[in-house]
Amino acid sequence: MTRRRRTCPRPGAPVALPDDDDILSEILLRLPPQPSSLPRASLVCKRWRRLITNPHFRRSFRARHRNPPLIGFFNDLVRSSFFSSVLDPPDLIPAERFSLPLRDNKQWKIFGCRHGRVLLYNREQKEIVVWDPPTGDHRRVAVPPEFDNEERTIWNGAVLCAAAADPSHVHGSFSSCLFKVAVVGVTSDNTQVFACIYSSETGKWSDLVATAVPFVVYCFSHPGTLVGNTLYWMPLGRGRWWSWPRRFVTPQPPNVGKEGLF
Amino acid sequence: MASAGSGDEKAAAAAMITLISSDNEKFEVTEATATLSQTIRHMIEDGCTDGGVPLPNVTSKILARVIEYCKKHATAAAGEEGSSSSFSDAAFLEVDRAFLEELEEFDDAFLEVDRATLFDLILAANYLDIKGLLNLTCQKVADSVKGKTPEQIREMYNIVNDLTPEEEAEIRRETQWAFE
Repeated sequence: MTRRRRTCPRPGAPVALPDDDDILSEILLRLPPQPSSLPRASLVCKRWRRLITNPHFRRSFRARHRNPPLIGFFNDLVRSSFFSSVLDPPDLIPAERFSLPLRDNKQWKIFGCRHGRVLLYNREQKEIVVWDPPTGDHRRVAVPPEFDNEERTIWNGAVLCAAAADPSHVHGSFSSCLFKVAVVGVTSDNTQVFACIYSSETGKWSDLVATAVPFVVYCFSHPGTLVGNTLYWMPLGRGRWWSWPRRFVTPQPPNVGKEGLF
Repeated sequence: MASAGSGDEKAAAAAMITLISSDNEKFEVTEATATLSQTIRHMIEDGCTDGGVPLPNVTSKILARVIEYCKKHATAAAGEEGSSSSFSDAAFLEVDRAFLEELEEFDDAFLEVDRATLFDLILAANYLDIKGLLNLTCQKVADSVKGKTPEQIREMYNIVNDLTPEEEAEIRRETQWAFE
């Protein structure tokens, strides 16, 4: 036991914390999930920094704080930095911290954020990018050839963590956390809607699923909404809801906000 | 006060365990109170508690506080179990809420100690493996650090900054916004 302190410390006098890494980790795990918490604590001393930068600690911290605060939004207009924080200093993360690793920013459209990742689409290049803003890492995915922008056009999409239905799962980097991408589109004759799901585990797209709609359909302009383990999109035409067949979407938890990061 | 009554009745009938502090003071507690500690629970299961349980890492002053915590939480747990069969659902929920409020008030008052005592309680909770007490006391320390600058944290807990200027500059460069 450490006994560096005086036998009878004065009230309010500095008292050393227990000299035990496990106990200090238990304390640091209970810091609030605000963005400035861990950076500040890691600047206290080498020991605190070593514990906080340990990958196991990071996983435990994420697992402990399953409802972290909303830190900000990505704006519709894709630019090199298009993040807006909703928090006050010292938790205000500047836009430059999440700069997009893509050229030709004007050609990209943001489809949404979920489970810590951002989904972007480039119609000209027929390419999808799944981006992990904290690490800057990203994955490029070619869209299915059936979406040729002529007969069939992609209008919207959603990114999902492949393991989000597992309550013990902790979201992480691309190497530890697989993802799925769902895209929806419309035929050029405005009579059918389409969907397709990509899995990063297999690196493949599912078969195209199509259904005729009994009204003139133009596009999917709003982001999809995840309810339980079903994704919903509202096609613009006559304002009908279109529900995904359950078998085409992996089970997902319902507590995800559209466009929110983390 | 149905909870206290049922807890006392159980206590009277339960087996007693003797805990011995580092300064050789003996504390008689019920098994229900003692087994909030996983360490002692395992010793009971292994039949190693005859003649008392020596706790060489815990002083009598701290052990008395730890027992106070365990008694309260063991009584509350016993009261909750007892009440579930004898109350209607609505009454049970009411009692349940009353228990939780009472426990919360107890925990708040329990944490009104100086930092040296708080750290000794953490060490004891860790050694005795009492999850609720470890969580409560560690959260109290984490709350004291919340919103503080690294300089304030060092001053508060007498920590020497042994980071090199290069390491410090690197952390600040990566997350400059967190220090503004």
